[in-house]
Amino acid sequence: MYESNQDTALQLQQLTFSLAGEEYGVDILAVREIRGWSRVTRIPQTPDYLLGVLNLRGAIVPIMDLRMRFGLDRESYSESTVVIVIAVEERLFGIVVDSVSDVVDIDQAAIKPVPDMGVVVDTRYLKGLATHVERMVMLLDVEKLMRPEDVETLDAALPSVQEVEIAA
Amino acid sequence: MSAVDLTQFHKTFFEESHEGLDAMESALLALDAGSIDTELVHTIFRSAHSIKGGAATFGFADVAAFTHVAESLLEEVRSERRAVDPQLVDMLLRSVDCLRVMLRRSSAGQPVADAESDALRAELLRLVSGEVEAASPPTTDTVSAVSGWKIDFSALPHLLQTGNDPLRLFRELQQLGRLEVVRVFLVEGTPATLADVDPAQCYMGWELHLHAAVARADIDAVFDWLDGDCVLDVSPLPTAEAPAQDTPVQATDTTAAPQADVAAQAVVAGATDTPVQVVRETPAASAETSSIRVDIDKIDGLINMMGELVITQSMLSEIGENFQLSQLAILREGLAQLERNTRELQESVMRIRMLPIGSIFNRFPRLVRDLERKLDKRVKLELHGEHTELDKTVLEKIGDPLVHLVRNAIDHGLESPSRRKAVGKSETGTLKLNAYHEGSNIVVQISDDGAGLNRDAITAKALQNGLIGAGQNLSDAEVADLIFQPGFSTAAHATDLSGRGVGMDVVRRNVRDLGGSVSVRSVSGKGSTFTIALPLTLAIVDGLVTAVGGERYIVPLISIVESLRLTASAVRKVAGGGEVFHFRDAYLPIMRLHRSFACNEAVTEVERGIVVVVEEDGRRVGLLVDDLLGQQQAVVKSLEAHYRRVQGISGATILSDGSVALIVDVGGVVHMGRQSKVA
Repeated sequence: MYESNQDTALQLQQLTFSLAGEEYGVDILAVREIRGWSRVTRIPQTPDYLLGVLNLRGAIVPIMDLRMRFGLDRESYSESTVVIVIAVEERLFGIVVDSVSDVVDIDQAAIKPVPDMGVVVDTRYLKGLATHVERMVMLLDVEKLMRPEDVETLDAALPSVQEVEIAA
Repeated sequence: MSAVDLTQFHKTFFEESHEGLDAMESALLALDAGSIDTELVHTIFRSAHSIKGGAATFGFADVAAFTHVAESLLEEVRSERRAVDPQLVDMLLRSVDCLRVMLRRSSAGQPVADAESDALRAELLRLVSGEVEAASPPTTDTVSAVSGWKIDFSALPHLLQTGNDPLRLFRELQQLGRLEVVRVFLVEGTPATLADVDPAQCYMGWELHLHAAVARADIDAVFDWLDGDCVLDVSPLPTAEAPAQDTPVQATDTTAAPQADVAAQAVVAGATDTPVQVVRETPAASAETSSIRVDIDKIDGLINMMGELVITQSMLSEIGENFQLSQLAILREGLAQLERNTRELQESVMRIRMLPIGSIFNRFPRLVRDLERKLDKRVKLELHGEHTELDKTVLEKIGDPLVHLVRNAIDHGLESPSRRKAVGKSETGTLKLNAYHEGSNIVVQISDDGAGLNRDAITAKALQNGLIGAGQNLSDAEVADLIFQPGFSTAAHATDLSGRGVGMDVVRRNVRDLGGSVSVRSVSGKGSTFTIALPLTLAIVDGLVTAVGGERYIVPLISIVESLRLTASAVRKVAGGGEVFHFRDAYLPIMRLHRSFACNEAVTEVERGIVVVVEEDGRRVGLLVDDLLGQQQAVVKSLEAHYRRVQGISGATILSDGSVALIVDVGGVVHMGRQSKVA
């Protein structure tokens, strides 16, 4: 996974954004669009962090608040609140973030695994950590963000493969 | 390998072949009815011929081989060397069934031929008159009059080193006909001890019997590449040596299984001779075609409308660029035109998805014919309104419920000829299928002139199953409704048509899933009529826009009975916290939509909101909403496309201001209400 190429190191373009004072990155190839905040239609029987759905050129797209997804409080939705629309396997969803920062190139080789740290973010949604201009960027695993709750619960309940191997 | 990738045409081939088979079937059924029409025979022949040609082109050898035999038979009919009799039609209908299965397997990439198709083909071959040429594979022109060949084939030691493989040879021989391995032996010069055996050498010889009326040249062609690598002796097979059934016509019956192991084939070859009567359909892997054939007129119409829309648009933008208030009237006119264009375009686009119901109705002549024979009844089938169009999705899903109703009508509804005669009816029963438009619905009626619903039997059965209590007095409509209850069947004994656990309840559920309804009207002794009402399309619902809290919810009009404002005194609290109100001689529960959907800032006092009475499964409830905003046609968008199913919501739609409104799944909401009551 972290193999380095002999000649040119593989560069990953990441869209970085800030959330509660931290810097995060998503793979730019997964980003479909960045748009301002607009009112969403609430959907019953969904977790709090799922704010509702939005009409995106005829597609009904769910929007989640990343702060709430990570168990933080959302202060308010303002003009500068931004929605990043992400596509995972043809399925679209939007994440509400504080603000979008930049597009940066990150060496794949420079991505470090996530240590078990006591940060605000549940580390299971992170792919890795990278440093860009002396700042730490947490790379989001977008595929895991939109997974149904039961799958997550199941994942959490099962010991990781490594643990099983050690036990054996 | 040809340079053109033929696989891109496969889908078209399968579609056309299925259409061809449908045409064959209906033509055969018309023949069956006694009209010897040469045009019909030509139609059948042409269909078979195209399927054969296509199958051969695209490399579906089994299908081609099978169709070839059927075609030979048809050729005899066409050239009037064979009379049409019921047995022949029967056989050809079975071939059509068999070909359907084979095509489905081909498209799913499964092995195509099996014992059943082989047996049927052998039967067909037997029917084809004794001319040898008809029995041979399509490629052979000149055939000697032998029933088979005895092939003595001994490999020279270096055979394997020349790149030849005996297995391949056997496979090729199998293509010609049934191959029997009579004897396997070691050739002279085989090392006596295992230690001396060179694994790269071949020391084997085979005595083979090929039961196929092919030319010597065909066999030689197979061994063409082995010149100088083997010792070969081919001689005609004495007829007496062949098993009794191995007449030349039957000889090719294993060609269809080239993928099978040679040795295994040799062992089972004798066993495949048993004719199998029924070709069962294997559940096809979801290879359902999702393309649609559109009339060129419809496309032309669309292009026309598109042109008008472009003209209107350019007119409007011209006005917009240089607008003066004096042009207001023209602007209004332009907008009206835009609206008309858009509506027409919408209608035409929706019409593309519309297909005539005839494609479903066309199944029934065959079904009725089969049932007549099986049940020994006489049925006259009348079809009306085959050209009535409905949405492709609805069409695909209504087939099974209709088949079930037709089966039921013939099995349970229509009496036996003797019984009909006894009650003074004509011996032949009439089954009528009718389809027509009614408002934004399509109605399909299935009526028979049979005995009608047996009220006593139904009530007795319902009593026995605990669906009703003893002494309960039921109206005719209530009795009729009982047959739609789960687990209800009055069939005294389970035939293979009824009593399979699939009852009217499934029919009702399927129709409901499509947003339709099914009802029955019956007159004792005169017959019953089942009426299915279906929405024209699933893509658009007529809905009532309601406000709940800050959200807007759309309630489908089809389930709305009435909307009303209640006074505080009209609402009664019942034990357990439920609320009911009095409506048309009944007490209906109130479901607070804001509670079901957890909306904030909604109206909570019943008297300030509006109660929308909805009906689902014959159960009525009142949904409390804040306000009614108006009626609208909603284009249904799925929530599942990007999210997932949500209970109580059937989909979403986009309102004129671009925002999203959710469409209420009335059945789901009613169900949620029941659950919360239990909890």
